[in-house]
Amino acid sequence: MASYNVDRELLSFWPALMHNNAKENPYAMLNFTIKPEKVSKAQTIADPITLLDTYPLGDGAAALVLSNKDASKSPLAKLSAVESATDIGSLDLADDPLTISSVADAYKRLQGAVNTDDIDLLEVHDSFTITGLLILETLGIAPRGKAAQMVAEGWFSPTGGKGPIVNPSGGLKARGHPIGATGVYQVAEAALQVAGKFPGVQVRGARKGLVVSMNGLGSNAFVSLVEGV
Amino acid sequence: MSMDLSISRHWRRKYSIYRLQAARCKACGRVHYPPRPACPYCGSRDLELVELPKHGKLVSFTKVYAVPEGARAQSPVYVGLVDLGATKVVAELTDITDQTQPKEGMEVEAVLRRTRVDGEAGLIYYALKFRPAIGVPDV
Repeated sequence: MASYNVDRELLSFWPALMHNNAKENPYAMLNFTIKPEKVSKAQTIADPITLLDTYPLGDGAAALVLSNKDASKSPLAKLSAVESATDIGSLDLADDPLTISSVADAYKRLQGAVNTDDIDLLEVHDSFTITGLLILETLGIAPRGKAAQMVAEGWFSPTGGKGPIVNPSGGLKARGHPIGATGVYQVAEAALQVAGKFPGVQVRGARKGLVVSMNGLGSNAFVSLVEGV
Repeated sequence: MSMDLSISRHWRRKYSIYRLQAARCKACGRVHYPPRPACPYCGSRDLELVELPKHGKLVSFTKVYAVPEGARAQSPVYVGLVDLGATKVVAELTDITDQTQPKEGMEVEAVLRRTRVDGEAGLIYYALKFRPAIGVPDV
């Protein structure tokens, strides 16, 4: 925050955007809206992170039916590539705590395997406000230190018209985080998006969805590309 | 009452917990804490144990209100990222008063302090915490 002159109120636009998206999602755990100014006034968990920056832990189940191209007559979507990477996953051993190296490495591998231009939507692992913002900066979707400002300016939102739509489901923040099921949720949601069948905020004409799943501080990360068929 | 950190495990880790014993990789030269079987940077198993300095600079810090059971009486707890030169460590900060509020770049030094209690009949754990430097680290 000090390095890039990002203040607390700027960070609050992320949870507000996630709740806005989740409000439309019948599968979301917290499907109600919140105002950005509520976030900094909520109970402090670890300063400056408040309760409204954190994910709700919940039960949930999601499933994907995978098949090869020929086995399915009416596929929903194509899972073009899944790549993964590991890293130290430690705040004290990381040279640069503002980059999630495992996400960066996995994304580099994905870009080597498939064309990731013209992404329409992302489902990213925003376990906390800062995690979501750092993922966008790590992927290069936002310049370093700028993600919070861009969210506040309406980027990545269904109504803002700037950049890909991020977490139309509401993300871990508001759709919820059933831990082991979360990554499958994300891929399933991206598949429904590119099929034009997502029951919440549907990204119009979506063809390509990028999914970023990680754990903890990024000791491992998986990225997937889901495309319309 | 369950014990969530076993006595034997704590005993095995005593040098890293109480003396800040770290490991230096003979292959790439980097230091990590606490010591692991292999260097987290290059994977080499050719490591030597080294003791970290007890004095460093505060890189960043937070004030944690969601404190686990056993340490609730001490809530809120300050936790800092401390640069000891060879490597960085995450540790609790202590002796924070109105006059010594933590600041980025602040000099800090290690001090032995009680950290948590494992229930009524359990162990009382001690650990090194860092306090705003007064020039006499007591470990």
